[in-house]
Amino acid sequence: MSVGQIWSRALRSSLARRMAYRADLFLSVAVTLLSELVSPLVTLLIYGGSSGKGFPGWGMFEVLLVQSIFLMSRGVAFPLFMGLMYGVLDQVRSGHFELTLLRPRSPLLILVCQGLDPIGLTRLAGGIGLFAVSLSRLPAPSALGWLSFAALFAFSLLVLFSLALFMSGTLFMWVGNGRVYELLDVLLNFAQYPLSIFPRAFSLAVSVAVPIAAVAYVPAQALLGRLDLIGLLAVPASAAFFGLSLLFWEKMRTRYSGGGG
Amino acid sequence: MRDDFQIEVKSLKKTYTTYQRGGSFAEIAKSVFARKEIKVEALKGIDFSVREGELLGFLGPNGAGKSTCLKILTGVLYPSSGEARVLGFCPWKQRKRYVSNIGAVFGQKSQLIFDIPPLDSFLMNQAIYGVPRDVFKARLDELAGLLGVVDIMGQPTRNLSLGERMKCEFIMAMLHGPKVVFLDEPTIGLDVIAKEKIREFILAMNRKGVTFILTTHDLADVEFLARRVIVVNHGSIIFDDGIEGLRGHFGSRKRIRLLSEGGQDALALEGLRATERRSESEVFYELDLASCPIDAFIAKANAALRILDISIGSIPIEEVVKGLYEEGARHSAREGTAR
Amino acid sequence: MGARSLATQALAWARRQASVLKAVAFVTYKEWAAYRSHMLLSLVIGPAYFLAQYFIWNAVFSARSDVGGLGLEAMLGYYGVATLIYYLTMDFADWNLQMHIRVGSFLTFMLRPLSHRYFALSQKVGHRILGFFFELVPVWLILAIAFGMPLLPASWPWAVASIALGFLMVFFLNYSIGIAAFWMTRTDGLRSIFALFRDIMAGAVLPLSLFPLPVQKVLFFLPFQYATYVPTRVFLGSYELGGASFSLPAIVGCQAVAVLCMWLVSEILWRLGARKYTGVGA
Repeated sequence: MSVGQIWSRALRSSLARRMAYRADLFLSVAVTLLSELVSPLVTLLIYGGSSGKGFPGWGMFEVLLVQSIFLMSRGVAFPLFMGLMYGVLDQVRSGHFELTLLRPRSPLLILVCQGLDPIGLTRLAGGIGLFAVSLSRLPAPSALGWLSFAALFAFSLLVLFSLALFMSGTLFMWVGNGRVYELLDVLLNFAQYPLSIFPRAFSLAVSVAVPIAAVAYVPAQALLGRLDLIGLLAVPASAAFFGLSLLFWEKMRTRYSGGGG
Repeated sequence: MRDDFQIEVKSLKKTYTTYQRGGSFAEIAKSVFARKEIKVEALKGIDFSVREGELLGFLGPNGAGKSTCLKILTGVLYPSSGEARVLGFCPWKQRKRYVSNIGAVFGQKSQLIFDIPPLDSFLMNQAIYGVPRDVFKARLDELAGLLGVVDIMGQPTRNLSLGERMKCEFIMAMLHGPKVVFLDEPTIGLDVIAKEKIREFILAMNRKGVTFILTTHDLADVEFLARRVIVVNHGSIIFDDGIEGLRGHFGSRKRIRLLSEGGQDALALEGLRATERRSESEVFYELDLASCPIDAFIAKANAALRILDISIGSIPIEEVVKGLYEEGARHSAREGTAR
Repeated sequence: MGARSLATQALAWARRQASVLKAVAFVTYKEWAAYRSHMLLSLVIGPAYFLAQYFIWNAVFSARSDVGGLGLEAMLGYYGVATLIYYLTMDFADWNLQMHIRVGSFLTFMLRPLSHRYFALSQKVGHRILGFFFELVPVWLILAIAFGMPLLPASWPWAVASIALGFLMVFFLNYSIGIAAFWMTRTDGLRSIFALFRDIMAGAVLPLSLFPLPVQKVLFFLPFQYATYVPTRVFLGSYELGGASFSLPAIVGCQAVAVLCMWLVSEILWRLGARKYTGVGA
């Protein structure tokens, strides 16, 4: 069976699972979108005061553009591969990871497929909506801007996948640690705001060392025609970050000690 | 309700509502908007009574309704209709006061806290049940001694074997000196030695006057412990009698293995039925004692054959119970057709 | 004689409840001490969240002196205090209750002569005592040393009272949502949506005084503000919402009434839910 066939079967079973509990389905769809609108709400409240001032050098719709790209990126990542984290958390804790290892496929592929969750697409819908609204109030990006954005959006997804690999990798050692989601959230919190609000050293750290600036800020800068050195550095940094995360995950997987339950 | 019964159940009914979701993707998607409601009658109006000090075996196939009945009697569930009184209480209406007087071990649900020693869980229960310190100590020493867990009570529960954990579950259930104890599959998954220990413990407690209601699929538990058996199937009681009555439910029969020199075709008797022929000379029979007493059979066999070996035993209780389940299923199917 | 007998009974009951609380809290403390490494993650997560707020508000206040009536120091003080209060009042009573109902282990609580709600509250006491030592104290030190913010209450008695009431309010709010598991097989969506609204309307995401005035007036009458916003403002020494200011005793009094109402709501939901319990999964 090809990867595509495995993926589509997994998607179908994920949808069926979700539809089995309809009240929960409707509420989950609502909350997935609403929870992501908190940061844009904060932005509106900051800028919405009488002065209309917010972050220096950034207009409200520019900040909302960053946050909409963040939302779109999560809107693609969560349905596609972020479910990998829960898969590792649950299977390592219960000892069922052995069953995954017994299958004649990459355990990473199986975990990603098992973690497919189409509900997360509501984030994408919300992000696209906010993106359209923000862009409509800003100067139209150039063709180069759009091309750069498309390429950088791919790197945005790559960084999120890398973070999922790092977080889930820790779960082979730190069994049952559900707080890994909070760790991820707190890291990504810094990705929703313009880099200029951070001190220089911190900006460099979140662009190069742990390139979360690549999740939303850098693609936004490409659309705004303001791609700078830090933005360009985020590209090789993201690729290197991904490579490291893969190595980390494989190394951690070999430390799985089995048992549980 | 009469005073000389410790437990009285009258016309107890419980109906659950569930939904049909379908198997195909299209059916599942449709069920998001419109789904078919299905009523499941777990208990169809059962009646029984239990006296103080009885040890009652409650049997039935999966889905028969015995766990539902037990949960209603422990105050966990509300019935759809009917009455029950245990120790003078209505279990579901007077739950908090009532459960102080009962104990329960649900084989697949633990009361122990996983990461800390059972002793800590016992101390917590002492506070919850308000057991005075000296009474608690004396009872704990007695129960732990009987079950042989004195040395392991201080180890984290997660480090204990299943048998050790189950013994500690029994202690949890009995530390407050309950008069009635409900056991739902207490020996599930245990090894032979652990099962024996627990059975001996139950008997010892029963001799002290504690009433036990035991549901189990392990019929050796029933044979060893129960003096009375109720069999439930499809929400109704299909058998309620002593253990001997259960054994003889399908008539008095014996299982016989006969090894002879030469074939056994000459052996033909009324009431004798060959169930398995391993070879011409080794045959298994079932003998209906009502048609042919055992001494008559032995005399006839001796006359007809040269017997090399013979073994005579009772019909295994599993087969009796299986027969009861099948009888109950046929009865239920007829009821369904008639409706 | 009747009154004396009643008083004796009441005292005996109170002693028994205290004994249960102590025993359950102690066992929970021991149980969660096995997971203290998970708790120590708060030393990273809490300060990191605060750091983000620190950068955000320093940037915002570089161009203005006031946002919703709060200056930079007050804003950062709000977030710092809200973080500390979170470590004293948080719980996962909703997740815990629905998990027990879903997997069937709720049965084991029904077999004991106490209310599961009281058991869960006692567990929270034990859990938060552990949180006090492994979360609150270290994070307070980080805020004091790394950010130069040694946060101390304006009035200790009122702050302690308000935080204690906030502790109860968070519990009753979360527990009431957990009760939904008697009706719904899966409650993840409901709990998430509730948590989202709760956090926003409690002032955990943003001080409530930043919301438009009409919204503030609605928020005043909802129970959520008593979980975070009220204890935080009482800690900081002044309360204001919807254009109205209250003295500390007055707002703590309102908080006590709100907690009582929420207890009543949870009691009604519990009685309705217990009748629906099917014991499935056990």
